[in-house]
Amino acid sequence: MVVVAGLLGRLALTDDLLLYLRPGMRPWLLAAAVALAVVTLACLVAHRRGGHSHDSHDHGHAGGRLSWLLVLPLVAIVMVPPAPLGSFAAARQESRRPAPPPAGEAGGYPPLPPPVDGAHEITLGNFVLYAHNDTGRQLDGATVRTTGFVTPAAPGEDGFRLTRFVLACCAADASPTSISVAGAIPPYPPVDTWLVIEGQWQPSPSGHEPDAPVVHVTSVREIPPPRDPYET
Amino acid sequence: MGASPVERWELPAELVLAPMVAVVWFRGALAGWLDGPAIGTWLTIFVAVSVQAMPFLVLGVVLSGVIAAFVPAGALARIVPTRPVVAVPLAGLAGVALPGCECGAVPIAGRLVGRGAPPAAALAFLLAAPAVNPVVIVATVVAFPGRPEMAVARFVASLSAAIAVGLVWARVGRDEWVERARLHAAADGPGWVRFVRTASDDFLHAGGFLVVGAAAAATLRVVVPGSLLDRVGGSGAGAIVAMAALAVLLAICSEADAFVAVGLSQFSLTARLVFLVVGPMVDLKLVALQVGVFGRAFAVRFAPLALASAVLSALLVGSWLL
Repeated sequence: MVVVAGLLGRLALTDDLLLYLRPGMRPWLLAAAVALAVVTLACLVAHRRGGHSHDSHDHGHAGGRLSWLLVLPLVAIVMVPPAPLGSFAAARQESRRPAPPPAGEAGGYPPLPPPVDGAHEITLGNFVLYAHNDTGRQLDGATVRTTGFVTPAAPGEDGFRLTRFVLACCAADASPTSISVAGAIPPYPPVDTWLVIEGQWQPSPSGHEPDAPVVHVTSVREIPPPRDPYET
Repeated sequence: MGASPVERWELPAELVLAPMVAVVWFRGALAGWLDGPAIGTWLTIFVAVSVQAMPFLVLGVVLSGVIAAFVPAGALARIVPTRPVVAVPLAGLAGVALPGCECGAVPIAGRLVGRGAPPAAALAFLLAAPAVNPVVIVATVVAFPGRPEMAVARFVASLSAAIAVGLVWARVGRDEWVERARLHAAADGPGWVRFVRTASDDFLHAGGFLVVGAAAAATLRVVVPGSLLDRVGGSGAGAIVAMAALAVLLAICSEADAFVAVGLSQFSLTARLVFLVVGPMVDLKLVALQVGVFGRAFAVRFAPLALASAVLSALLVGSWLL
């Protein structure tokens, strides 16, 4: 139990948490770690005071049962450097359309944030939402800046895709959302490279937006993987 | 604890697990023929499922410790109405009071049975609690903006499925199927000692099975291609089966599943209701937890019953409300 409390505590206090869970889970994880530590401590005290009727009780491996498996998540993290979900996981799941949030009063989405250095900063998930659903068509002609990792283009697409996972609670429920990047100069960056791109939305000529809306990029910049790899 | 029938049930779970452990352990040697990203994805999902369930499991074992330490033996049997027709629906409704997801409810239900509550009532509570509590219902409302009937349908379908299972269990259930929860006696000593020992026992015990469930869910996620879903039609029997199977295999928390369901927009609302009703009642990590707390003889009967009841109830309520 000390091991599990330590694992939870470590995750709760470092950014590694963000590879697995939504940031809002942090206080709950911390509370669980503290509760486990307190219970373990109290068990030790009880043991000291002599609770011999209870000798099957142990604090790391209760004799031959499956409890020792609880150390596996920790072993996994220690042995293999934790990594966020990437292109492999994205390829396993079809890009699901994220839920459209309710449209605003005037029939459109809230205004884009004011431009910084000549571009509107927008999450990849929001970009896809605005491209699909914004009746105000605020993306028309707007230069946007967004972040994601490289995944291969789908058949019939130029260039490559930029993808980001959207999380509801933990990495197990993450669903990928993608844009199709056009206008970049080959050679294209390898998959799983994190990029910040600036560019403009190219609405589909047919009027029916594909799952991955097309962005014509004007600048592509490579970055290290971000602290928080998922969008929520 | 450690009675002989209990040991016998341990073996299969370990056999299932051994290859998974081997994969983690000999990662270096295996890297040649198992490509890196697959392992990385497996580990991330495995750790994510294990870790996100922990706070709820801890809440559950703290409550189960309270039950074992401070509820006198026999008190539950006196409080709970004797007639199942009354006791089971009440127990299902009592699930409203447990804010959390499914992992916490299993050790609590185990302790309730251990303290003499009728199994049928405890099981109705076990099934209802993760789906009808305010946190989950609010999450469902938020996930389906403008469609509050989805949350209503979820509440009604989950509660009635839980009650149906409880009533069936009251009729055909046998005590020896829940023997393990009964055998799992509480520690002795002063109240606080019983409390901490029960809580830590239950945590260590259920936790191991949770890890098995997380490993199975991660494995299926890595092995089964997502494109399988695309080949199933958006409605009709195929979609219902697909959504029920997905709910079992994904093993996501009942507080998060509504956000996943909303993204499965190629499926009909009723099919997605099936997903939301089945998930909190039957999924891989949950069945693993139930094997741990109640035993295998229990889980092999209970899981199919709960699955059938959940699907039927979701279909009925879906055709009525959605």
